[in-house]
Amino acid sequence: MKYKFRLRDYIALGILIILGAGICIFTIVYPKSRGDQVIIEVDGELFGTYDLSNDATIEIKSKGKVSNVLEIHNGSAHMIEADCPDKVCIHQGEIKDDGQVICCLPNKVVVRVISDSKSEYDSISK
Amino acid sequence: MAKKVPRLGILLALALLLSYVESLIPFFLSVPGMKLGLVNIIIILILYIDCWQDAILVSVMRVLLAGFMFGNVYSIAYSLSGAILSFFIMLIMKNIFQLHIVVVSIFGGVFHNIGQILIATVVASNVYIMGYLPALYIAGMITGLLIGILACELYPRISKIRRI
Repeated sequence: MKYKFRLRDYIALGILIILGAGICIFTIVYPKSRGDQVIIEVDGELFGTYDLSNDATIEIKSKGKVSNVLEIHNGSAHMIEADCPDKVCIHQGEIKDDGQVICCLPNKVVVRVISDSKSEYDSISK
Repeated sequence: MAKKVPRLGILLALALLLSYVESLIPFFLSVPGMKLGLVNIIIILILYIDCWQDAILVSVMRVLLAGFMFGNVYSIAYSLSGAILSFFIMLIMKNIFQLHIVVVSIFGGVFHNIGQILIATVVASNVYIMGYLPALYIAGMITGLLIGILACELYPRISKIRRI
């Protein structure tokens, strides 16, 4: 196996890096604003909407049993319990900005933050 | 054919072992679906030493068997989509563009993650999961580079396996 990179290798790598940088810059530059509410969706359907300003502990039920527990505290939300083995959603930490998500793929639970101005737009687009 | 079956069997067993080792190593727990991709060493080496048909056979069998043993239906769906997308991207990069093995591996790593996140978006029917794309993209590049360097070092040493 030759160790030397040829020109086409550098070009391919360059394209990949530029594409990656583009995606990263888009995500960083994309305007972030503080969210006001969390939407909880189970299997693509709305489970409930909660205000971030009120502290609460929410038991999320999917398929008839409590699968995840979400805690809202000091204006941010985080998952404190999950019945899946990997606990990825707990490790995802706190979310508070508009558009941030916690997802639990085994239970198909998605928690996302919205701001008031955006929620209206979302309900229209649905 | 008589020699091919046991050889591919050994490589499949090796790939399964690596996916078990991989499931023991926690790597950036904060993003779902992030893994080292050790199995890709085997797939790339089969792709270079044997033919692409053998490589995709081992790849798909590995995903199904590992899914039944260590995962569930959803982890099979995510891994399978990632494995198939990354495999065909690697095949195109190797055969049509004739790129270096390290570059092929980096493309494989990145597109494995892209394939997974696309299926995750469809399964959870939520576009916001795409927010993990930058982290997964960069992770794919780093793991792809490491795996590529390993494959590049291993290839001249084990290419004799074909004649066994």
